[in-house]
Amino acid sequence: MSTPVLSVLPLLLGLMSALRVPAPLSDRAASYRIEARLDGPARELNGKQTLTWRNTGNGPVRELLFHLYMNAFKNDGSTFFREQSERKRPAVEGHRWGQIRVMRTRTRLGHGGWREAPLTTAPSGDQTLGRLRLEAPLAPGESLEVELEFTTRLPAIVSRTGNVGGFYAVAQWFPKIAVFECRPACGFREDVFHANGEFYADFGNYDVALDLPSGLVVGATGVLVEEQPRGERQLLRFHAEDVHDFVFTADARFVAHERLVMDDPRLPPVRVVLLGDPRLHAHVERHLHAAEIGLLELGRRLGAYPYSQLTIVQVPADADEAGGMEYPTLLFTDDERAPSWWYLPELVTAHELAHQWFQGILASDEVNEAWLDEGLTELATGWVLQKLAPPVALISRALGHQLTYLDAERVMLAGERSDPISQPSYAFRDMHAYAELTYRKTSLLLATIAARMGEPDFERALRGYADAHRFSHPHAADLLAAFAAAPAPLRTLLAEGLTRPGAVDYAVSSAKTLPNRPAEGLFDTDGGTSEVRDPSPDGSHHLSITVEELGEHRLPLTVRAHLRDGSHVDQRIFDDADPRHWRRVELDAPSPLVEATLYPEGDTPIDVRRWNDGRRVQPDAAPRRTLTTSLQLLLSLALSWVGR
Amino acid sequence: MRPALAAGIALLRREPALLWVLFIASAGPAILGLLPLDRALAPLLDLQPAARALVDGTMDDALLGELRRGSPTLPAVAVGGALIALVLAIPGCWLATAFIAARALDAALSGGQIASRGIGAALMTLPLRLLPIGSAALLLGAGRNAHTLAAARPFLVAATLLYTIGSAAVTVVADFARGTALADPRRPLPAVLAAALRTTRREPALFVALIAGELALLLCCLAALAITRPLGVYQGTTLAIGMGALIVRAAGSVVLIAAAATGAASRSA
Repeated sequence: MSTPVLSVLPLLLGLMSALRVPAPLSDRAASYRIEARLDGPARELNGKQTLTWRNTGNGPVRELLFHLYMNAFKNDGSTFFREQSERKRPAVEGHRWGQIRVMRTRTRLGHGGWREAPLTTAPSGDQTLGRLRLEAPLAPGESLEVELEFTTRLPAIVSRTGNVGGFYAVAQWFPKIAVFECRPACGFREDVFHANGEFYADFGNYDVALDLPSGLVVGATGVLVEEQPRGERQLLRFHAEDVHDFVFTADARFVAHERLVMDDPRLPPVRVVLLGDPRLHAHVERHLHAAEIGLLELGRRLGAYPYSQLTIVQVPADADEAGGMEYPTLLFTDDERAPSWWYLPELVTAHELAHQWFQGILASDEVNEAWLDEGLTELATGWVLQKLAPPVALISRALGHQLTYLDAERVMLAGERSDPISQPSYAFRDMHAYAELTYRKTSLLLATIAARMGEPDFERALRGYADAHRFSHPHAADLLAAFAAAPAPLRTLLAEGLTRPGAVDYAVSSAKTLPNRPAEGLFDTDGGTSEVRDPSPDGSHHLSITVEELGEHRLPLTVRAHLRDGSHVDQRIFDDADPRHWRRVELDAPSPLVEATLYPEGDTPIDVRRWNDGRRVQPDAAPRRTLTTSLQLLLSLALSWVGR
Repeated sequence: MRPALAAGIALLRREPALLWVLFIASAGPAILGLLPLDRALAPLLDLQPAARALVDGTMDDALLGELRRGSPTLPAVAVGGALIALVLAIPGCWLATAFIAARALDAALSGGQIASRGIGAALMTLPLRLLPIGSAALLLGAGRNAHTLAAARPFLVAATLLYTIGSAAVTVVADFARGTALADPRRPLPAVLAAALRTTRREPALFVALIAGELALLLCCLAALAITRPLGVYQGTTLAIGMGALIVRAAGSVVLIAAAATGAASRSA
């Protein structure tokens, strides 16, 4: 193919993808048309939106419920600020609070006329929910339109939204109808904006016209379908289908970098646009490469990324609280200062990209079942890192040191066992417990199940879950059902690991070996008694290994006895109903025991402590001496410099 | 320059055992200081098969992290031991250096005089040591707001160079001061420092040569560190090379100390 054709091909494919009119992928229960004008100096967006909402329940709906998320930043009486573990004064930088005010609300049923219907919020305290009483009930299957005029004041960057300098991260900025679901009773999910946990919304189409100062480079959910310069302003219209949120970002300093990902013929091409801060140019290629690898890997494992475009935003250093967040077709990454051997930028991009599936496409409830997206996303992040830094998913590798992703997860989890995973995000003891359990423990649980089931079976089960619940709202039971074919101990581990506080921790507490010899003493013989005294060893050895269960979650495991002749003997333990928290392995072997170790197949990444996963019969000081001698030599070299 | 360096080499040839004085001055405190850490590690490592995985092959940083997490006092024991070693090593090195300088000058001074003049001269140069440290800290502070490592790298490199070269220069000034103090025991210590600074101007070639020597010895030590894989773990060949580097460092220092003392004393006279 000639070079000119090659250079035009990505543009053509991108345009074709942007303009395609596919069949609906979701039920499109809540679709929005929004017009909004940004007043930069005032940090305000004045908007008018028309929501088309359909009653997907089985009974009439008399009241609508809206999220007014921006009111979480209105004052420190909001639930968001009251739940902060460390309250800061001021709660937002420079007392730049955020707010959303709804000035006018009208509803229209079918082709009838518009009717005024006020949106009411709590008079004080948390005002992140608004109620709209309908004049007439909305029957199941019927749709209505709701028109809202609103003004949103952007806060200083707080919890991934707001404005600082010329940078805008505009998220959760418009009145958004709550999810209406039947589990089994039908109703709106009445979740205020909490400090932990994120969002939950119904799928729909978004058609958003933004009137912005000219010169701003803008990225948004969906694709840009219209662009009109208007003197010192510009009108940009974005369109997104089958998504559950709309977010945009703007900064005059952004430089756009593009890449078309089309390496796998089984997956549709995706145009990746990175809006980069020129000061962070060194990381552009790293983010793009991670996104490219991620789109292909996750597409192959979980089903194709269904949108034509993915926008990645590099967050300026002074807006780092906006970093590391996912929205449909758009993600904010993070740019910690990281050398090439430290895969931190890639990790953040891979994580937020994985969220395009777990929460973007499989739109689980991020408030009440946060683990369902965060835990699965952590797992999927590992898959991408494994492609970026094979053969094992790495966070870093330098000068003979390495830290694998799963190990880092385990060390970070640090045996946290304060809460069950499966509970609302605001019910956790604190932010640390929330993060370690929803992200890390879930991911390690699933990684353990994958290691024990075998990757192909695990992938098949997870792919079944992903396919079955694409563009819907899966819940915990759906994931558990996907693993119905897994062995019983793994199903138990998953269920208990999610619903009970605890950890997996087995320790070899004792390893002993003695030469076997015939019994001594008095023995009956034909017609008398004979004495055996000081019999010689028979050449075999008796091994005794004690394993203790220090964690709360049980899992069968293998203990391996390493013998002096280089051979080993394996024994399965904790695979019975015995409630005792220890097992003793007693064996006779041709050679003495040197050491006992657990998990010879390396199949239990969730065991929170690797140091106690083995024990030697005799102490071996050599590794300690190596460490101490090394430190002494290093210190000597340093002192020879400092002391002079 | 040449006579001073020749005198330094001659001293090492004449009394090679002097290198062990410097060797012990830095290795002794390090060994003593880290003995508590060794004792603290024994019950944690000796019976654990994972200890072998920690030091053999690739360094598993998660195991290290888990060890720290499981034994939160370990870092304090290590840092405490290093501080004790530092407290022992600095006066020890100063005394050893003064003793070597006195041997180079063949000074007819008592042990007490050598110690007091040597330590006094070193103390006089202490404020000078703040110059490279402070300048490097300022540079690092300026680079702290860089958005990427690439942007921060120039600051990091400049700070490292400034600290390294500056420290080597101050060390040479201290050696000059020590030589002057021992060559002229009646001269007040502030005057000794002034004389040392004058020597840097009057003997620029010697000054630069000694700084280069200090930097070469530092490079030798860094090379011994860089060849370890995993970084910082010495076993077998790398342990021998590391020990060799420390010996070379001590031998080279004997030459530099003696050369500086000889050069400063000749100017002082």
